[in-house]
Amino acid sequence: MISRLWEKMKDPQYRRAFVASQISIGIPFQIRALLKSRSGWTQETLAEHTGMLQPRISGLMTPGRTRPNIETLRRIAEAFDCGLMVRFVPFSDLARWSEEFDPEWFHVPSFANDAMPIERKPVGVEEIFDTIPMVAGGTNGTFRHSRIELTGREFQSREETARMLPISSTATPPVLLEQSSARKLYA
Amino acid sequence: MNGWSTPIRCYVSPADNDKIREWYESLSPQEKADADEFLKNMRRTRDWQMPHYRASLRGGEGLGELRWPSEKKAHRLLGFFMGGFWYAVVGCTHKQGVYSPSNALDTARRNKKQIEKGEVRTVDYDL
Repeated sequence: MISRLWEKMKDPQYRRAFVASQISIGIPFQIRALLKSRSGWTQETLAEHTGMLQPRISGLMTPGRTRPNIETLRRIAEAFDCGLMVRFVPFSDLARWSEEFDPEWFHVPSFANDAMPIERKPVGVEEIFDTIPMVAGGTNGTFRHSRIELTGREFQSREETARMLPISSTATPPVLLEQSSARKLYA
Repeated sequence: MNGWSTPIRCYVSPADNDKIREWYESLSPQEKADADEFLKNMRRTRDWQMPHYRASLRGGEGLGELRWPSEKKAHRLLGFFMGGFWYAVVGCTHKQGVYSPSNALDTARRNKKQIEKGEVRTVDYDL
């Protein structure tokens, strides 16, 4: 459970060790899962594609046996024809990754089986009503406007505060309005 | 996630001591982190075979062992499958064919029998 992990991570020694274990224990489980997902591939196949010897591949697939360096990981990514992302992250991100990683379902497609990334749509004021609008109105002259922007496979929610004229004295509690109603009332 | 899980339960002695927790608490921070990461992955994989898991120990009377190196030590968790659970009975290390503590296998056999006979209770692995 992530809450238990988070409690442990309050100890600086543990959280430093946790980062190391993601490399020495977590990476081998990733490599094992990747190899399993490539039909017909064996440790020998991976050894050929990386230019490494099979015993070294075996070591890289054994949790705790080695701490692979970035160049080694780059060669493995190249062999699987997939990307390698090395970046600094908050501990919360790393904890979530660790908790959600599933060796039975971890699969990274090769470039040939990958999908082209969809460009993020630029956001402008005019697009407010092209997205999915939710308007929470109040009587203090302001409202918070939430919108969900759909950009291909991703979506994000934004909140903005703006001035408005009170709709009526009866609109005391915040109300959620549909797109058409919002247009009519706030036009 | 596919939801696959091998539930692990831990031996509790007749004196009500959670022996697996005691073993875990004796580890260094790095050993704890490695054990956490290793056991979390093992619970989620169907791949219970060498080099992670030895299914049958010589003289183990049905015991197997989870195996992982950490801090230049070969760590072992001895246990057995029963009724869809894997029961952890002893945590130890292994060097040149010898367990440390040296009576780990004897203790594991005794603990296994106690669980099989229902003489002791077990708890979910919750470390």
